[in-house]
Amino acid sequence: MATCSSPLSRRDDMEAREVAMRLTVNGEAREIAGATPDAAVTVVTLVEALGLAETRVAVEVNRKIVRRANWPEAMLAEGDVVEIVHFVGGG
Amino acid sequence: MSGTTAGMMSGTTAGTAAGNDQDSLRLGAKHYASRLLIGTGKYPSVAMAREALAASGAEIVTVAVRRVNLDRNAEDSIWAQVDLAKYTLLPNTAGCSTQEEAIRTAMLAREVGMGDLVKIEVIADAKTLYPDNQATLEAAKILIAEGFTVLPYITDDLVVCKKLADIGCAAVMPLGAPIGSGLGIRNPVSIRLIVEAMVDYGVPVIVDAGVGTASDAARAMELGCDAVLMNTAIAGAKVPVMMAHAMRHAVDAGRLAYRAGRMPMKLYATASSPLEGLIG
Repeated sequence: MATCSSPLSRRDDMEAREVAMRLTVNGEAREIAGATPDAAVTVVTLVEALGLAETRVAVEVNRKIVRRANWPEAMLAEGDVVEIVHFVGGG
Repeated sequence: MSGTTAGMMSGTTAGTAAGNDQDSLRLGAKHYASRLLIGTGKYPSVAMAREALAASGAEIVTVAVRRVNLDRNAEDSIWAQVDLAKYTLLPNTAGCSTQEEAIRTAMLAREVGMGDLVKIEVIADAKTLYPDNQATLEAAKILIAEGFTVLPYITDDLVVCKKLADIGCAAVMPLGAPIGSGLGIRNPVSIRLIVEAMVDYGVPVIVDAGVGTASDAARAMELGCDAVLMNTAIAGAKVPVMMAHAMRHAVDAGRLAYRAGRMPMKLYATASSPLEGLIG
């Protein structure tokens, strides 16, 4: 099981770390500290680390929507491209 | 419901126009008493957006799908701003310029909002924000097959509207003028032709974009449109909340005038007072 001792960090803050899973989240390079590239990190891990577990968001991993019900089983892998979206004001 | 006098007055008007005699707007499986749809963008503050929404009497509000800002709390999320027991959210695909982007955005919107309503907007020209009707039609086909209730934003093109009605769109949404222009209903003849054609399909016509002031909204309704969707006309007014009130009345007035059937126009005067019994 992956440990995620601290929330997601920007990749440039983490240059010195030895092990971390690297992801692209909303166009930014991010790392899950302490997670090895082949650790079991799920969408839930990520969403919780970002403090978004209680908000109405949709998640796409590599352009495929992961439904909320499937977040606990949806594994993330090194290099995955994640989009997290919500509703904002608009016409 | 607002507790102000104006709020109660407009409530009465809405009751006459929409409540008592079942004159409601049908979109997909749902009926709405209000024929005014409101965008939630461009308001100077969240509080004002909320107040304007209440003043408008609108039941359907449009929202956009955007990336969560990861460095901030989700305070800009619309969930914090809108009472979902009162309003139906209509996510749009604003910002998309291809059918693939529009489909992807609609799918994400459904996942965020758990509703099937979507406003398809595929923008083809940066200066005018004119929609790509062909791409919109293609996206609509796919989204309808996916179970969406599709409201397409298109130019005031009768033939495109007929095609969209043919494939099962829940409404057609021709523009009155470019988005955010406030130029009003520039081509009332086109709008009227679309209205008449859509009667045969039983598909509502919603003028989306171009309304600048209350008379524009009333005009659209007098032409027989089923509803009006606007954002900047309210958000961009000097006093948005007051304009929201005005729009509510304008839409109700225009609807009633359309249903009442206007008198024929004549070139010369006809006296309103009797000609008999004039003093000598």
